[in-house]
Amino acid sequence: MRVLKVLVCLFVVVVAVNASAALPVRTWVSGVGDDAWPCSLTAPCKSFAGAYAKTEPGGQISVLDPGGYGALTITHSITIDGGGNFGSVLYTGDGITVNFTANDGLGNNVVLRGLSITSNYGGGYGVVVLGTVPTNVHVVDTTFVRTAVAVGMFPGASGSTLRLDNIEGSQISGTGVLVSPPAGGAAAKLTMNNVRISQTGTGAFNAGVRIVANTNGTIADSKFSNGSQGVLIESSSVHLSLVRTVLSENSNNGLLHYAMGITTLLDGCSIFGNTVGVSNVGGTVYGYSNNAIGFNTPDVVGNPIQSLTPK
Amino acid sequence: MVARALSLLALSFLVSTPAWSLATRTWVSGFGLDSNPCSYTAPCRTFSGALAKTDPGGIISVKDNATYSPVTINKSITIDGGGTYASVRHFGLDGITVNITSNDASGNVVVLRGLSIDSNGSGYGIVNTSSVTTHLHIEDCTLTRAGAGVGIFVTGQGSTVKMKNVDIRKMSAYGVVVSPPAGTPLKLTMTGVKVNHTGTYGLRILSNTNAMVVDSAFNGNDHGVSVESTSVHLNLTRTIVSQNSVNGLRHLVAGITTIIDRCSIFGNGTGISNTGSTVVGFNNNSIANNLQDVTGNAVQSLLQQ
Repeated sequence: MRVLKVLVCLFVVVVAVNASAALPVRTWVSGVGDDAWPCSLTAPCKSFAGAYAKTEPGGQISVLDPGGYGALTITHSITIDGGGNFGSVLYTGDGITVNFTANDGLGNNVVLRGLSITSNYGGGYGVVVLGTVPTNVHVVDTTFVRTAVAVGMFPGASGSTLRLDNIEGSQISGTGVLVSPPAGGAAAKLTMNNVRISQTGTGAFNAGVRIVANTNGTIADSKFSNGSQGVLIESSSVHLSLVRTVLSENSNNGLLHYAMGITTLLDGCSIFGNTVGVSNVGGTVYGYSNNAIGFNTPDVVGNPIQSLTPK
Repeated sequence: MVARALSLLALSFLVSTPAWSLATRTWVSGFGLDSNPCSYTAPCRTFSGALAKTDPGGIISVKDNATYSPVTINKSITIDGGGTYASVRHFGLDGITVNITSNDASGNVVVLRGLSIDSNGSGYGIVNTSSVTTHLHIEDCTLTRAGAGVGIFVTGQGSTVKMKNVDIRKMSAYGVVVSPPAGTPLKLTMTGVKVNHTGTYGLRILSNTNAMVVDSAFNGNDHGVSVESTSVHLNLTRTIVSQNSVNGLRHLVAGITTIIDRCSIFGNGTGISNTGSTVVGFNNNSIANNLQDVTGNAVQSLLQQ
């Protein structure tokens, strides 16, 4: 009897431990789900927040069908995959907040894929990165409409990374992509491919891309048009390369160096129809005799483009 | 007596509910009914039915791959076919009409995504006739066999049109026609737009437009791109204009300036028709194998930097 009682107690303890530790690595959300359910394929949850709480850190939340899945704060590694179903977030504050306050042992990686992020009445961040530890965020195949800022990166720790692939942003009331890492320590790394931002705000600090400090960036096959500034760089600690990218029809500058001593590379870019094409007072812009810069008034302010010979 | 007052209260509550409780998100389905509330579990059958039950600034999601009838849009809305790729058939009518006549709190923004819009040779696939400033996004759509693919006749100045990954084929007249009013110019942004085999024009811009066209193609029309006023400022970057029987790029009047950058202009009747106007290139365009490559003023070549 005594042995049996001990065994039963042991069993209860094991069950209790399992319930708290063994979260599934993959969960599902659906428009007909319920957050009271286990977020399985056959019993999906209703919101990203509900599924996030029931997913193992480093795991994946899949979207079963098109629906609205609500705003979310992320504090550990996760992948949210809208896939072909294009999971949608329609929000009024901030859309998705990434806020790691401790290393999760999985590299602090967040992947957001196939999402449509819309602020109902304009405002807030679509995706905002905060936190106190280095964080790696990858946003893929996602559209932003009517946000104040589409993607804002304000990591509290140096050495964070942001990668954006196939992003569409428009009717943004402020800035498309705003990168402001800590001034000291390892530089943030920014990689953008096929990012198109248009119709951003009209203020002097509103831009398609605004990089405040301490960032190594490469932007390729992208377009920043019909805003105030196309690309705005505010510190000599920013090292940016722009490849096959269009900066056009911006009401202030296509590319603005807003401090002395900034160096930027242009390779195969098209810079047209901005008030100023390249504003480069006290800075350096290298080209490879393959950038088309025309119909700005004027094309270049400050130091002329230094044209290197292609090899 | 109390019970009667309560029931009256309940009745008035029920009656007033439809006026203010529109949903920010609705759904349509091939199995839906427009008498349904357009919820996920009770979806509507048509875009029109769902639009009437969706808050301005809201989203209509498509649940399944079905045919949805034409719709007229009069407020900010997103119709999202997503991976479902909803189909609109509009025989003899216009497919999706955007006609916003007063400003709404969501900025008069209309997003049309993931739609296949098809007709029988007449009507517009998508037409904007709004009387206030309107922002129209067309993404990941296919338009086929109408009179014209996209017609922009908005009369609110300072409107914008953004097209991304749009395929337009077999229009009896126009691929895209843009005719905005005077005042603040319309802004047109096209990325990855392909217009093939229309009766007359691939892209026709009549007035007051700042246009940026990137990574696009206008092939096999009468005119690839036709610019018809000095108030149109067009930049063509990495774009192919080929096999158009009359002109690749046409400046209809004198005094127009257009920029071409990394473009390929091949196999047209006339590559560039430029009488009295200006075309600026950067020594990086390929213009060849047209019956005449350029008529009128020669292309002005600037140095790249």
